[in-house]
Amino acid sequence: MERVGSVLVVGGGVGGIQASLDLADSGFKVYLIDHRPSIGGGMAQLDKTFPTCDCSLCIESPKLVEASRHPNIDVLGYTELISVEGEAGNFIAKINKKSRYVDVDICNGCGACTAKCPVKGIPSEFDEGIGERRAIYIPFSQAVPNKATIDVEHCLVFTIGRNCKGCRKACTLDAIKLDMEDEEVDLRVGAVLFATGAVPYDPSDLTQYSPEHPDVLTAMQFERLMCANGPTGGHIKRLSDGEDPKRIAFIQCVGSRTPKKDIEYCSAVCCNYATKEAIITKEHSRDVDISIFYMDYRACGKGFEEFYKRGKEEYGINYIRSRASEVYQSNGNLVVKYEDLDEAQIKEEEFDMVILSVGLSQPKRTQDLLRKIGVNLNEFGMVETVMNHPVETNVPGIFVCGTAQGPKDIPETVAQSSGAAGKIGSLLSDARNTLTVKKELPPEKDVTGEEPRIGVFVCHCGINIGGVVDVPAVVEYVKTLPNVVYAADQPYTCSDDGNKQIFDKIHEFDLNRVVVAACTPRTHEPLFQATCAEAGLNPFLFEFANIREHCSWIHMDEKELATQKAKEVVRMSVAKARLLEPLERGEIPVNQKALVIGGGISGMSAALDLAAGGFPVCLVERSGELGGLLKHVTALPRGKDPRDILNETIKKVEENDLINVYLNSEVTSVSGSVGNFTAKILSHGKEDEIDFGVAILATGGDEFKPDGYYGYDGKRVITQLELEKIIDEIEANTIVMIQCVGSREEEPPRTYCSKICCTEAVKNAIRIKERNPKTEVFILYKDVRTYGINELLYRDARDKGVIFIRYTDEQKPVVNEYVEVYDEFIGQEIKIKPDLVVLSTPMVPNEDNDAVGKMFKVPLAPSNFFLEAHVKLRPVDFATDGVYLCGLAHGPKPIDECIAQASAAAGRASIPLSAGKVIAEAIVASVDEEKCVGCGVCEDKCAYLAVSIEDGKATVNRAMCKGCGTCVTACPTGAMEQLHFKNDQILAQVKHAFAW
Amino acid sequence: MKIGDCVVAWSKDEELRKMGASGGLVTSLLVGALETELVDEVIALRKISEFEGVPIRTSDTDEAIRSAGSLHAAPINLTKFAVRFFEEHPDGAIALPVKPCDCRGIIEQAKRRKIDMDRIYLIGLNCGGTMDPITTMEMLEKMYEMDPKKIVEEEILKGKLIFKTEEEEKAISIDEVEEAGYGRRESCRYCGINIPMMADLACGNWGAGEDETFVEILTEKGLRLMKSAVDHGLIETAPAPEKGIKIREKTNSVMENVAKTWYEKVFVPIEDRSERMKYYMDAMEDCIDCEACKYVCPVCSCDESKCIGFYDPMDSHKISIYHLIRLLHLADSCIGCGQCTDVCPAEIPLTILHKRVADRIQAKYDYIPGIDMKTPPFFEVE
Amino acid sequence: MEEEWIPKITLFCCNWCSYAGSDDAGVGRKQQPPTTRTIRVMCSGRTDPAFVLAALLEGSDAVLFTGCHIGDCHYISGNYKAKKKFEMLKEVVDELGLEDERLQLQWISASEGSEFAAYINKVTEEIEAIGPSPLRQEWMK
Repeated sequence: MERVGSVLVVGGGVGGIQASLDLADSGFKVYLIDHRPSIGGGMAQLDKTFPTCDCSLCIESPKLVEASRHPNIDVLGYTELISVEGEAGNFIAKINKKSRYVDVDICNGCGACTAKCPVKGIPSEFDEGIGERRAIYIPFSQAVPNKATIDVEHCLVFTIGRNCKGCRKACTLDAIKLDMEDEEVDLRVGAVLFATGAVPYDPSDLTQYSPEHPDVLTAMQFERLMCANGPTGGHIKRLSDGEDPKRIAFIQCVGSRTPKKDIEYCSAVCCNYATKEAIITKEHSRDVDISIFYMDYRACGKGFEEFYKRGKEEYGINYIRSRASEVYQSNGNLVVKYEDLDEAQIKEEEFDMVILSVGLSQPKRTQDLLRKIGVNLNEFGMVETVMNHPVETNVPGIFVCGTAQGPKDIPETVAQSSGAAGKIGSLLSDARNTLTVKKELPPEKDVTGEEPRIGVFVCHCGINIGGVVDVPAVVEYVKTLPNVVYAADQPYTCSDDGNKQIFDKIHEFDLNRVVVAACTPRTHEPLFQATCAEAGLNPFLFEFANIREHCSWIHMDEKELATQKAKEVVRMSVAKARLLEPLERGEIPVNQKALVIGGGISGMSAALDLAAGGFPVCLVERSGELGGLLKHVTALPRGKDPRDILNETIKKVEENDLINVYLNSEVTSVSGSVGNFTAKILSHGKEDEIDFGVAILATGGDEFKPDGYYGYDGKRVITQLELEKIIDEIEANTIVMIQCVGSREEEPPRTYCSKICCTEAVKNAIRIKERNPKTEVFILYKDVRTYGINELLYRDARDKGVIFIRYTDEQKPVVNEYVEVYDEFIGQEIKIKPDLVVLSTPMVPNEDNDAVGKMFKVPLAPSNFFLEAHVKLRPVDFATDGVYLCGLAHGPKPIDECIAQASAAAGRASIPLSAGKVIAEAIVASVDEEKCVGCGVCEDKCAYLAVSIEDGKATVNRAMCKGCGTCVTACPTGAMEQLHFKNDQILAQVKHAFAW
Repeated sequence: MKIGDCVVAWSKDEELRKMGASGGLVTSLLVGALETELVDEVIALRKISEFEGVPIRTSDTDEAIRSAGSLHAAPINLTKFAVRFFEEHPDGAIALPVKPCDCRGIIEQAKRRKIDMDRIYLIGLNCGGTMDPITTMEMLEKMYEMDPKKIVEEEILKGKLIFKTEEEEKAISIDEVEEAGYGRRESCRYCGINIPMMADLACGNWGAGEDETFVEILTEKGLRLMKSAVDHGLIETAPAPEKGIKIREKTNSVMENVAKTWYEKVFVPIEDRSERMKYYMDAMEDCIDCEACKYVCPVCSCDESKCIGFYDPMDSHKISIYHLIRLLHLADSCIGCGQCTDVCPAEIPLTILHKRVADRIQAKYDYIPGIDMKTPPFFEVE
Repeated sequence: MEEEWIPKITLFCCNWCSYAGSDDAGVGRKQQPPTTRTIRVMCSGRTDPAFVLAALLEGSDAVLFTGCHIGDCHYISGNYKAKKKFEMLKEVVDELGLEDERLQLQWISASEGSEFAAYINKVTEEIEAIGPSPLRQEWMK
């Protein structure tokens, strides 16, 4: 059966966007649909992200724009999936493009309609109901697609039939079509990916927390309140009276970890987002007192434990271990009633504001749809997957990623998305590049040596610019500038007419430079560049002048000065345009082979995924056998025996002709860059040289051997992995497990939480209890971190009689013949006489990481795990192109997350492999060798290691240069130039900024 | 001998011992470095008169011998000669005598990868300052009433500037001649780095007896230089006497204090902003754009550069972008050597202008250029 | 000189954050005085201090260095390097006698349109208070 080279991605949050980009970049046509008017999902609503407090929209927005501009991604907002039929490789997906009553092909998102809509005060969905919008609206200023939508529930035309013409008059483009109808479309696709996400739990039924009170907000509402583009412009104030709050409470586990059947699980992200929101609030104003009421603080993830510690120590946030039972109103303030778990007392405290850290829940409509399609869901409505196939549903060809599969944070979502994209790529590998488009362009006109002939097009943008700036006067002024041979005004330059005029005038006046004075280059530059290219002009001979966002819209009452400014802004652009040079995007051929370092489950999974996509792989393993750390694990929290998974995987690797396994081998040196690496491999005393285009570092980890901790001897005091080995044979009456042994320490390298030990201990405790219910099992812990649905195991363990006792760093347990531990809850010392003590020790990174990192020029975190390119959005990439990471090499994590990362790394690596080339940036640094004196400042400044000094001269590796221009600034001689932002080009702008 | 030792040393060649200053040691070390093939070339100042010296790069020992003798009125910085050597011989090795400011220039160039510190032997010379030849000749006529052409030797001793002809010897205190506007170059007066502790050897007559040189061995390379000259029978050494060490220390601290006093006199802070601006503008206004200050600068590693590239002759600013960029680019690395002032045909006090800016930056970043291999703040990444 | 003087402020914006923040101010119609002229660079690390000096010489009453917040740089650490350069430049400009307000650094994120507008308003007021740049006055003579 023929496979179709297109994919439907359902859900335009960060997961769906990442998967779409990965798929489109590896040769597939993508339909990205979202039922909301804009893509971006929950991440677009966040103010910042933990644990780095990066601005959320700043890092997500470039992805939105990239998706919307991608020639092989159709972004369909306001569109719903109705049904999916067919089989893997060949589905028919029926979608409904809901009517926006605005023609998206005409609307240019100028927003004039919104301003004229008389219906105000509609709670904005984007602002979680605490901000307002109108009946015709664009959800937020960076919305993609940036198109207006009419909300028929509120529009006067639709609700009361009034002939309101507010928006229709405002829209000079005539984009508003009140007779528009929904449109059903059948899409033929090879695979479907559900990136439908989860939504914040709606607390309205939890009346004990007074959710209706204006100063009781959900965490997501609080994000909007903190955010600069939110309803208060980032001013944190009480919605009841506008006062600045002085005392804020966060109540954790609202809508998760509760006895209520459908929300028993832990939502995995709330502890960390609460700390983030608390820290940002503290950064807004240091004198706000913040208390976080929590049960167990779950900092499970890279850098989270350290983040938690910063919240406590640097920001003075009060973490109160408690169960908050009630929030009630008293004298205009809010009182939180809680049980203090450390002091075993009921207490009350007054606050100005209460934030409910609500969990993640599965939207009902998505659940219904998934069930209809035949996708299995678990009891919480999450898509069910198995341990070793974390992104595959029970229906072949239908995949899942992100929070639809269970609660998780952004990097895990992104990893799953890239993983799913990789899996889909393998499934449809025969159909790669069958449905993608590539535009044919006319030959480029040679402009070398020609005197600049500049055409300038000044846009009215309806009244958006023309209503403030005297556009004809600008045109007249521009005509007086040197080298300008044509200048004209246009109603809408971005319209088809406008573009056609540019195209025609390029020919008519033999223009060799084009300037458009209109809106922002950040959204519209590619459009006009494309028009230039279609007219045979190199796209880099185009220059923008922003006279809307940076002029007419912000100087509405100063028309004369705005006109003067517009003239000068255009003058600057003309001055730069005069000096523009044509640029080329270089292509670097890619050797379509991969190197994977590490033969554990992560490395093997990555190798198998790559091989499934048709790419040869060298898999290098230091030890004498495949399997890695998983060899020592005898059971998983859920599902199959890990030994079966492992054996099955090893067999597949060994039988795969495309995978060349090097055992007892190590990589001793690496040279080259993305597309063309060479490595030496030392194998059985002899050196082999291999060439490859990309590399995946899956160097794995090991269990920390706790020598010197709690009398560890490997006999009576053992580790969890040692327990795994003997668990089916032990005869013991009493077993004590101690958590956090050698992790969460004060000083690096092991300040981190190892993420899996709580689940591991609970799992093993249950196994012991199941084998012999009479065995007493005690778990001494600091916080029980059974995040996600592992929470159910925790409950199960307690039901089975496992006894949990909390200890603190101040009073650690003492292990002798007896184990002594102080139990705060009952306020006394407890003495246990165990037959066996099991220490839960952290995963530690491979000791080779340092050497491997140096060879590939990739960095390590203080913990000695590898440091990825971006903790949120690029979890399996390095800043160095062509090198990826996965599994324990990245940080401690359970097997399903390792496998998801492995698929992600393979998926990411497949992008250059399948393309057979990488397109270098056009705007890169370049060196004038005549001027270069080889001083090397540029080399030191480059964050991407793209610049090196060879034979006394700087050399730029185009494949690695990202074009930031930092080296150009550093260069004292002016030998280093950033193309398109050359020194003389910027200097020309400087000199023409103000007309005297 | 070992690193850290202080010795006195002299040339075993009687003629050299007479001809060269302080026992001809430096010349012997240069000869030794060539003869033992420690280096390919040496740089020396060939004396044309007491007021004129020409730096030569040579691999010929006779040529090196002919360069013996000390010059106080030849204020040339040798940094760029060393740079040229490495441009021509990237894998070669070279030895040269260096004043502290030569040495600082060389170290700054090494940071800019223009010089290989492992293959340059720096024979440091104590320096109390150098004089400008033209003004010195004028001074001789006016204050010393001596014929400059007849001068055969000059030296600075105990705060006095001494000139000798075949017939006579006259001494006037440095303070006196400098009060009169003669004496050492302005940049030397306030320079407090007199003993080149960043070189491989620190040589000088402070604390040494007649016809011998006091040497402190500072590095492995310095030790190698000394040893090979001893092994080759070129020089003789003896431990430096305690008294000599004390004298050297004392002389140094006297010179440091003199420098400090001068510094305070020259660099009177200009507190008022507008006066400061006027000061710089008025000073720079006379610039004729000859770019000589850039080409002579020992810490600038550029040939063609941004300061020139950004300048447009059509600009008519009182202070040009050329100077502004140079003020910025040299802010972390200016060593105040005075070369730019020396060459400026418009007589702009460039060194003082640069140093006013640079001292602020260097204090802010706690960075002293040219004394160690610490990265300049301008280069720093993290 | 012109009949009525208004401050002339040259503004360097990085493509990813502060330029986007300025766009966001426009989309939100956050009114600002028409005193700024924006030069877009890919990264604040590209803002060469030499451009700033040139802008001051050319008569700008103030120059603003802007970019992504520390930690948010699209190019890992360009803004950090920009900050280093800025600090050094600041010292030089101060030594030359220009007032503190005439050279400023501000991190602005893509969603901080309101902050951006508030900042431009604030800087304009500051420059109005201290008057035209003395460098410019010299040049005009």
